[in-house]
Amino acid sequence: MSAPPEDLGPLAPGLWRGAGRRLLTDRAATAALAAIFALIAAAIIGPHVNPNRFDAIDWGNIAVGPSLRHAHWLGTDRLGRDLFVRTLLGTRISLAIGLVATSVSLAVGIVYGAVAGFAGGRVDHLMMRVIEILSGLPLIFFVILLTVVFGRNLLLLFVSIGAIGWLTMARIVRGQAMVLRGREFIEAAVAGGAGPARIIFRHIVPNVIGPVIVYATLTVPQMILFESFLSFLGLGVQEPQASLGTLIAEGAAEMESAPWMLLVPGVVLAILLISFNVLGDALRDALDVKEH
Amino acid sequence: MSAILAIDGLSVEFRRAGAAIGALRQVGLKVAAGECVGIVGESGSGKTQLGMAVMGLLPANAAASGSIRFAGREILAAPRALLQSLRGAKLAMIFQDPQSSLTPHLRIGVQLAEVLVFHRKMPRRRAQDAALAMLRRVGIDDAARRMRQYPHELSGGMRQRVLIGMSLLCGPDLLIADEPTTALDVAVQAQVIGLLQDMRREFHTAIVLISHDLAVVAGLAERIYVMYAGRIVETARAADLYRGPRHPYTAALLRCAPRIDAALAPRLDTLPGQPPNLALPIEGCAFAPRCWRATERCTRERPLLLPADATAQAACHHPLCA
Repeated sequence: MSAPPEDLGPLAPGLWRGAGRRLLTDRAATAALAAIFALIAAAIIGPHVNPNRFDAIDWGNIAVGPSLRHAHWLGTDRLGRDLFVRTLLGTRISLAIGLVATSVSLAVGIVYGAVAGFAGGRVDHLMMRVIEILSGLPLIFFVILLTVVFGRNLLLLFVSIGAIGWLTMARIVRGQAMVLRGREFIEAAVAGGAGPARIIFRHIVPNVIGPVIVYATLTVPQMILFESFLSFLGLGVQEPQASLGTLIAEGAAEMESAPWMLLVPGVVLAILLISFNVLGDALRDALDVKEH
Repeated sequence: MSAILAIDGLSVEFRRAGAAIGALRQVGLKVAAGECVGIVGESGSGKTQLGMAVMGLLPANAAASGSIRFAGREILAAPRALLQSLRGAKLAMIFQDPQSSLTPHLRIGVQLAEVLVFHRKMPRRRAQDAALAMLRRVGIDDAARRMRQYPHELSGGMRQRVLIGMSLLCGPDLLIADEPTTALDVAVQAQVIGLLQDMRREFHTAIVLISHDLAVVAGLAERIYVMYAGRIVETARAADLYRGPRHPYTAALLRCAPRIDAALAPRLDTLPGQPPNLALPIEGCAFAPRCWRATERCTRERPLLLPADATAQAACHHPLCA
């Protein structure tokens, strides 16, 4: 996990334009952005380009290596299923989990953090203790418990991952909200008759967006990685569906005889994670007022 | 004239790390409808806390006692909902620093209109029009363009104008202006004071002008309260106060004010010493240690705020020009 971004202060709208420009002059960030968009496009379009279905078994081509001479461009797995299609499908699911889980953690984390930070005092204390207790729970145990109780399904996976991801987000937003609470425009808003809810959602939340975006960008790969980890342990996505994690798990089993089964999804996952991390770091730099 | 604001025996104490800091001690004050009253004092004399107490914006560690009546209604211990409905509508405040009193991510027009949408339940369209009219009224050129700009695109003086306009949108009965000109340069200060003057005439809003700067207050206030160490030490009509201060502290403040016609004088007068530590009990007159007229009686017995003539009161055992 990367360090939470430091206080960026409320961002003037003009700054966003500047930040966008700075981001595009950063070559690594541009490449990362391009890679992410390319993977998203491939995940959406890709499976339709190849004639194979993700769960169709090709009895004549079991565990064949990557080649352009047959229809299985990136080879097949142990059961003769097309790896190109399966990897793209896995990317689709991994990306979806990353984005949905991040959105869940954003929504919960922002509200929770802003309320705690603005309320302060005893309310803040109580809310922070709750976060500490939750982050003290062993995550894997929690997810195993959930899957045992509710059975394995994709929605549950989304929710349970997101439900844990919001903790750090809430901490970041709380810190920002505490800084903002002391600012004069918040006092002026109170003096103008605005109630707590209005102040939180109209005056505080929009002003924490900068650091939140940076952290969200860095949360996506964490979520993807966590899902992959769960799937690797067999707790995630179910057969015949695939995520990058299950594909890597299957590939790892055949690593010595058929290395492409591990390499194909592994490389895609690596590109995805690196791209999001590079983008997040670049965003942080681009939004950092002090350096410009 | 009926009093729009009547403060009686107001004390505010801050609890911090075991110590109790008496920021306000038995303060009494009256503001008539449409009147402008100045509150003057050094930093830490409690003048800002007075404004905060009226607005109901004292921090959580403050304990207030006494009475604040606004338009005949007790608001010191009033429920939060009542205060919230008064604030911004009947009771407005502008702050020292116009740089940071506007929410940075909202356009000027949106921020202004929201006040009306929120308090008056006005349709957004009409609120926008009213906001535009108000911007013109407070002397902002090219108001239509300014409506679409963000706070950081405006100069300090312009932002203070916007804030004054914003505070007057709902036609409040009382405006508390806490150091409204301190963050502005001198030329803009005069404009802002002039604007407050105009607005007061036009909207019949009573103004409580809080400042450390006697010159600023002199331009606007009819009556002045001088505060020292959480107490009011003198009150008089503005002209009388300038002509003949009764309390030595007021006299010292007047002497410290820089004057252009005294530019040839070798150096500016300063007031020696420091205000007392408000966490410790104060015996006698709080100003005694810095006062050149102090006697043994001053260190022993606290002077009461007593009428000096029909309009003035002073808390001093040895008043000047008595």
